[in-house]
Amino acid sequence: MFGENDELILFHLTLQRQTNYVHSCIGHFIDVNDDSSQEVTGSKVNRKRHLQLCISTQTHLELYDVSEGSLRSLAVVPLFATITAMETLNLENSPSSFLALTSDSGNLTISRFASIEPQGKIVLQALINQPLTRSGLRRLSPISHLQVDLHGRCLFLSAIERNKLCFVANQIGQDGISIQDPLEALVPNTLTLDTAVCDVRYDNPCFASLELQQGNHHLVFYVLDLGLNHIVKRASYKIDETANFLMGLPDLSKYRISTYMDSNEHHHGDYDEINPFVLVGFEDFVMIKDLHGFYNIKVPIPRRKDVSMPTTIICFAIQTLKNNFFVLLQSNHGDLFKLKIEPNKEDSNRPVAFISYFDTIPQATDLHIFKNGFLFANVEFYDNRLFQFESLGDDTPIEGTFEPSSTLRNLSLVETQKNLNPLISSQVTSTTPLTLAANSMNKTRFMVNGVDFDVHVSSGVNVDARELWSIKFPSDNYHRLLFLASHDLTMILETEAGAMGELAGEQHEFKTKSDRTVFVGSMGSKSVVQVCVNELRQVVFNADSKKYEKKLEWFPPAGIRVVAADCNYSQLAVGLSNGEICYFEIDTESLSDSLHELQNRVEIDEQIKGLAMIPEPRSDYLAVGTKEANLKVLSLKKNDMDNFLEVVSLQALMAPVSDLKITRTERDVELHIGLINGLYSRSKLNRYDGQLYDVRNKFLGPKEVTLSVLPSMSFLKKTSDEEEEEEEDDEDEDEGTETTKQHDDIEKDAKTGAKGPCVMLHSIKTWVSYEHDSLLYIRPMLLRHPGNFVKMCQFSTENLKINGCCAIDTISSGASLTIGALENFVFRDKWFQTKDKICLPVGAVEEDHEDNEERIWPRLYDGCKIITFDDDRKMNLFIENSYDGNQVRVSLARSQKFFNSQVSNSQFEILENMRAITAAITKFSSNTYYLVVSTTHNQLYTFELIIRRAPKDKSIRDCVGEFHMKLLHKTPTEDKVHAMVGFRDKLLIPVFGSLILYGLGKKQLLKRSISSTTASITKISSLANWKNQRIAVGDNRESATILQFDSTNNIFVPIADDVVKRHVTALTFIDQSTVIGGDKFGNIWTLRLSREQESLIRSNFPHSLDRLQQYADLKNKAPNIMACPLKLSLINHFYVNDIPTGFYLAEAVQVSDRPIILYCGLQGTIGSLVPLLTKSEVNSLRSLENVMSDADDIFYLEQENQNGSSTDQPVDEDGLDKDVARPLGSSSNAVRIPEGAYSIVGRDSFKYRSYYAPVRNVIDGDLCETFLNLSLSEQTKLCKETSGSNPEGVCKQLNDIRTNYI
Amino acid sequence: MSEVQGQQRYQVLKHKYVGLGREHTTQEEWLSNVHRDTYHSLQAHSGLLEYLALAQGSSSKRQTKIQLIKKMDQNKSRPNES
Repeated sequence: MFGENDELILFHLTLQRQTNYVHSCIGHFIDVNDDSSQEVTGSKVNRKRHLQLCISTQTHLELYDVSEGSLRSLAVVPLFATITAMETLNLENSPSSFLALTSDSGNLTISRFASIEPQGKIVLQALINQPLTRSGLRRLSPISHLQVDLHGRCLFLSAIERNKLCFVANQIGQDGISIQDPLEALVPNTLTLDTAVCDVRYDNPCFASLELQQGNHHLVFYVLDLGLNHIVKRASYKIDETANFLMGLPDLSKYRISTYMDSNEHHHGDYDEINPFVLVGFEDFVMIKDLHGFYNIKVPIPRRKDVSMPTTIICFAIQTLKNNFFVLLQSNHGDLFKLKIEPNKEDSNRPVAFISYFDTIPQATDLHIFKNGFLFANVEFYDNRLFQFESLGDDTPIEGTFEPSSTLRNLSLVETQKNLNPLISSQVTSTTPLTLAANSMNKTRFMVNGVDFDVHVSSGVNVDARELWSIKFPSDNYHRLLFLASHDLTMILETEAGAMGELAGEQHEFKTKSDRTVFVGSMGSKSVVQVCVNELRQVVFNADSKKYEKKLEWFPPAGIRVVAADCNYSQLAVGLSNGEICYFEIDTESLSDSLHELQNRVEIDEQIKGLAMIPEPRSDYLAVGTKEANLKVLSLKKNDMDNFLEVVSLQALMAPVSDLKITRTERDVELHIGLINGLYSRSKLNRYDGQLYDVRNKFLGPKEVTLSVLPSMSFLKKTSDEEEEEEEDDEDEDEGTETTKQHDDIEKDAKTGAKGPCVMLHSIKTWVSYEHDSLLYIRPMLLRHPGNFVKMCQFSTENLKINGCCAIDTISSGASLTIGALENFVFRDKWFQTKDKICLPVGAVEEDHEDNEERIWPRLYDGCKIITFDDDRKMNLFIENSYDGNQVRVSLARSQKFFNSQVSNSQFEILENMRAITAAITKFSSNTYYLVVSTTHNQLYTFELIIRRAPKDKSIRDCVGEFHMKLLHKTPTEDKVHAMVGFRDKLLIPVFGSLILYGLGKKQLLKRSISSTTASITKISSLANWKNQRIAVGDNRESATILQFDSTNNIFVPIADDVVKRHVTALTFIDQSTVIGGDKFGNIWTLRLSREQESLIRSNFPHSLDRLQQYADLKNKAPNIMACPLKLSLINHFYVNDIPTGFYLAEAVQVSDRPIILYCGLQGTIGSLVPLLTKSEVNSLRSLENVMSDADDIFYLEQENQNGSSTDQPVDEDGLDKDVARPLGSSSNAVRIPEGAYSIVGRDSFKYRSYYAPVRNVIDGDLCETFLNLSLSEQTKLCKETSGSNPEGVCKQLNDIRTNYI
Repeated sequence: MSEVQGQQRYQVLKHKYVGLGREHTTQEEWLSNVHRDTYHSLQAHSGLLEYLALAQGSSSKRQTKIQLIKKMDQNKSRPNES
C-alpha cells in the first residue's frame, strides 16, 4: 500500500484540539480595544476590570474577551507540553496581567500576551522560565498546585507530595517582572489535597493548604515573611477526614465582621494583623476556619432530595460587592449555593454564615464571575457556558433537603462554547465534505469541514439560466441589477427598497432576446456593459428618467462571435472567436463614460476561453486563458507603450481553460483558473512585472470547473441569529453612528484579514476558495437541501448586508434563483463547524433552535456507539446510554437527518432496563439488518431493524423515513462483551479469551465456531476485521494480535502478536498486515507484519504454520510468550496526550488522492495522520520539524552570541537587532528572551511526543504549523538553518497538506 | 566506601529522591512507591482522570481526583524508614 520501502511515515495533524479545559483564570491580559474612541479615563477604568478569560487544556490555551458579553476569541496558543497549573499574576502597578504556568517541563513560566504588528495577532510570550524540578509529571514536582498572592507579591507552588516552594516576585520597570530564588517548605510524607491563597491585604502573604499525613487531615497555614524572606508554617489544625476542598475567603474585617475572638483582648501580639479565613469543604458540610483558630463555623451543605451520595463542594466563585460579598459554591451534583457571611449583631459582630440555593448548572472545574455581571462555568464534561446574572437570588437559608430547579432561576445562558469532551462515540459519516458524527450530552453533534450557504429565499425562474451577474455602480451601497442569462434569453431583475422585480421593457435598452449574453459588468460611474455573442452594448443609467439608455453599440466582424469578456472600472476586453482581443477604455477624465476602442487588435493564435483583468480602477495586466491549455498575461501598462498588449508571462496548464478570474486583496493579485478536467489552479500575479508565482492546484472532481467571484466576503460571519441581533441593535442606534460603526467594522475586518474575496468553484460540488491569514483554503460549500450551484455572484441588499450571494441552482427541472449568505467559514484553528441535532427526551418539546435559554438539560444520555451501515456510510445508528444507566436510546439518521420511530412519536426508540456496552449491525445471512446490543447484564439483545425510507419527495423535506426495532431474542453470554464485529455472515464476539462466531437462530444466537486466542488475552477491548479474512484483536493489556481465519477448520488461528503490553482502547486495520491503534495512555502506534513474513503466511497457511516460529528456540523455553508464531514490529509511535477512542481509514477526503487516518480522542481531539509518499516530502517536513524543535536553542544561542559580541553597545541602536535577535516582542527595547521561549514553557517537543516511548516515523504537523505563527524574520532565520528552503516554500508545503489531503 | 558511609550516602540521596531503592528495599516499600506513583499519574493526566471518572460513573472529576490522592496515603507503611 505504501510503496516498496517498509517504512510508513505519517504526518500528524490535529484537526480539532482537545476541549478538556482543566485550568482557567481571569485577568486583563492585553489591551484589545485600545483603538476605540473611548476617552482615556474610560479606558483606565476598563484596565482595572478583569474581563478576559484564559482557559487551557493540558496542551493548549485560549484567550477570550468577555467585555462585550460574549466569548470573543483572541488567541489560541498550542503548547507542546502538559500544563499542570495556570494562574493570573497581577502586579500592583502593571497595566496588564501576567500568566503564570507550570508544566511537565519542570519550569515555572511567567508569560504575557502581546500583540504583534502588522496584523495585531496576539501571541503568548514567555518572560521567565524558572527551572524547578525534573521534567515529567512526578509526585514530588512542585507543579501541581499554583497559587498567586492577590497583590502579585509571591507565588506559592506545591507538589502533591512533600515539596512546597514560594517565589517572591518583583516588578521591574513598567512591564517587567523578576522572581527571586525559591523558598522551600518540605514536609515529608505529606500529601497536598488543595491549596488556597488568603486575603491578608498588605500583610505578609499567607497561603492555606489541605494536607494529608498518614491518615490525618490537616489545615495548614503558611506565611511568607517578606521582611525576613522566609516561609513559616504558621498554624496547623487537625480536621475531619472527609475534607476535600479549600478556598480562601475575602478579608472579613473589611465587612465589619469581628475576626478576633474578643476585640478587647490582644491575641498573638499584633492586633493590626489581619486574621485570614478559609472555607474547608467536607462531605455534607463546610467549615469556616481562620488562621488563629478562633472559629470553626460549621455550615451543612443542603442535600438534594432523594440523593444518598454525600454532597461535596467542587468549585467556587467569590463576588465582592461594595459592602458585602457572597460566595457561589457548586456541589458535586451541580447545584450552586450562595454562601453569605455576615456579622452577627447579637454576638459582637462575629461572623455567621448562611447558605441558600442559587441555581443548578452542570458540574464545573472552575467558576469565574466577571465584574460586568457574567459568570463563566468551565464545565467538567461537555460544553462550557457563559451565564449572565439575572438576580442575586433570595437569601432564604435552606434547612435539610431541597429540590433542584429544572430551569435556570437566577442566571440566564448567554453563550455556549461547544466542546466534544468526552468524545466516547464517533464515526466518520462522509468524506466530502469531511463529516464526523459524535454523541455529546443528549444530542448528536456533526463536525463538518465546509462553508455554509444559508438560504434566505429560493424561487424558480422561467429562464433556463446558466449565467448570473449582479450590477452595482461605484456610488451604490447595494446591488441594483441582476442579470440572468440562458443560451438565448436574458432576464433582468431590479431591486428596489428590498423588493425584487423584473425590469420593465420600456425602462431599459438591454438586449434580452435571441442572443446569448457572455458578460455583464458595470463601468465608469453609471454605465453597464452587456456583451452578447453578436453585439456589445453600453447602457447608461439616466438618473432623471430612471431609465437605462443605450449609449454605444458595437458589433464584431461578420461571422465572428464574442467568446469572452471582462471589464473593470475603466477597461473592457472582448475576446473573439477568431482569437482576436478587442480592447476598450473609458476616458476617465471627462466623466462622460464614453468608451473608446483601441484600433489595433491583438491576435492570439489560440482559441480564447477566458479573459480577466484586475478589479481595480485600471488594470496593468490582462490574463487570457486558451483552449490550448495556456495562460497568457498581456501588459496593459500605460507608460510602457512598446509592450502594450504584448505577452509578458505565460503559464502552461494541464488542460484547456474553462474559466478564468482575477481577484485582488490588500497585498496580492490572484489568478484563479478552472480547467475542463476538474482541476482548479490558483496563482499569484506580480504587480510589477506580471510574472506568475505561488501556484496551487486542487482537483475537484471529474467535471469542468467554472468560477464565480464574490469580491468581498467577511470570513468571520457566524450563523444568522447572531447577525440578526446585531442588526437589530444597529437599527436602534442613530443612523449616523450606524454607518460609521459599520465602516469601522469593515475597515477593521480588512485590516485583520477577516474580509476578502472568495472564489466559488463549481464542479460536481461547489467549493469555496478563500485566503485567510495568508493561508489558502479550498473547502466544500454546504447546502442544507440537495442541489448544486452553477453560478453565483455577490448580492447585497438592505436585508442582506454581509456576505449576500445570489446563485443559480439547476439540479431540479429548470433553474431556480437562490439568495443567501455564506457563513461559518472554517480556518486552521477552527477546522470544523459544529452542527447540533437535538433529540430531546420524551415529553419535551422538540424545538429547532439549538439551546433553550431558560433550561439547561442535565446530562441525560452519554454516547455509547455510532455505527455506520456497510453499504451506505451516510446511514448512522446512534446508541446512547442514559446517565442513570437503565435505558438505551437508539436513533437512526441519514445525512444528518433523523428517521422517525414507527412506534413512538419521536425520532428515537428507548430500550428499557438495560445499559449497552457496545453494539453491532450485521446482516447474518439474510437481507435484513440486525442490531445486536451487548449489555452490562451479560446479554446480547438481537433486534431486527425495519427501515422504511421516505420517497424522494420534496414536499416532506424533513422526514427521511421511519424505523423500528423488533426484539427477536436475548442470548446470555459468559462475559461482558466489549467489542463485536461482523465476520462473513456471522457475528464475532469475544468471551474472555476466546472468539466465538455466532449465527442467527430462532430462539437465540447460536455458537457456530469457537476459537481460542493466546493464553494471555483475557479482556478484549476492540476488534477489527480485514476483508473477512483476518481479524485484529486488541486486549485491555496485551496489545494487538492478528488472527487469520482458517475456513477449512472454521476457526481463527493466531499468527502474530506484539512484544509490548499495550492497553488498547481502539484499533483498526490500515492494510492486510498493518494495524493502527491507541492505548489509554495517549499513544498511537502502528504494528506491522513484515513483507517476508506475510508471504510465508500466505504460502503455509494453515497447515504448516507451526513450523514458522520466528524464534524457534524461544518457543520451547517460553511457550507462554511465543503462542503466536510471529511477532509484529512497531512501525510508528506517537504521543497525542489524549486517549484514542476510534480510528477511521478515510478514502479520498475532500477528493484527495490518498487515504488518511482519522482518530478521535476521549477529550475531544479529532486528529489525522496523513501518509507521506515521496522522499522529498518526508525530508523537507522532517527537517522543518527538527528546526522547529530546535527553535528554542537556535534563538537563545543567537541572543547569547549577540549579547556577547555587543556587550557595551546599547541594543536599541543596533539596527539589526530588531529584525533578528528580538523577533518575539513588539516592544522596541530588547527584552531578553528566556531559555525555552519558543516552546513557551521550555519543553523539548520531541521529548513531549516521546512521552512513553520514542517517536517513530511520525512527523508532528502541529509543531510544523507553528512555523506559520512566526514572524518573517524568524522564519527566515529558521530556514537558514535548514539548507535549501525558504519561508514561502515551507508555508506552501504546509498549506498544501491542508488543502489537498484533509 | 564503608558500609556505614554507603548507608549514609544512600539516606541522603533517598531524602532527596524519595522513590530511591536498593537491594534491601522491602517489597512493601517498593510497592508503596509504585502505588503512589500510579495514583499520582492517574490524577495528574487529564485524560486518564477523565477515563477513570467516566468509568466509575463519578459525579464529578474533582471527586475522583481527591479520592486518588487520598489513596496515595492509604498504604501507611513509611517508605522512608527502610
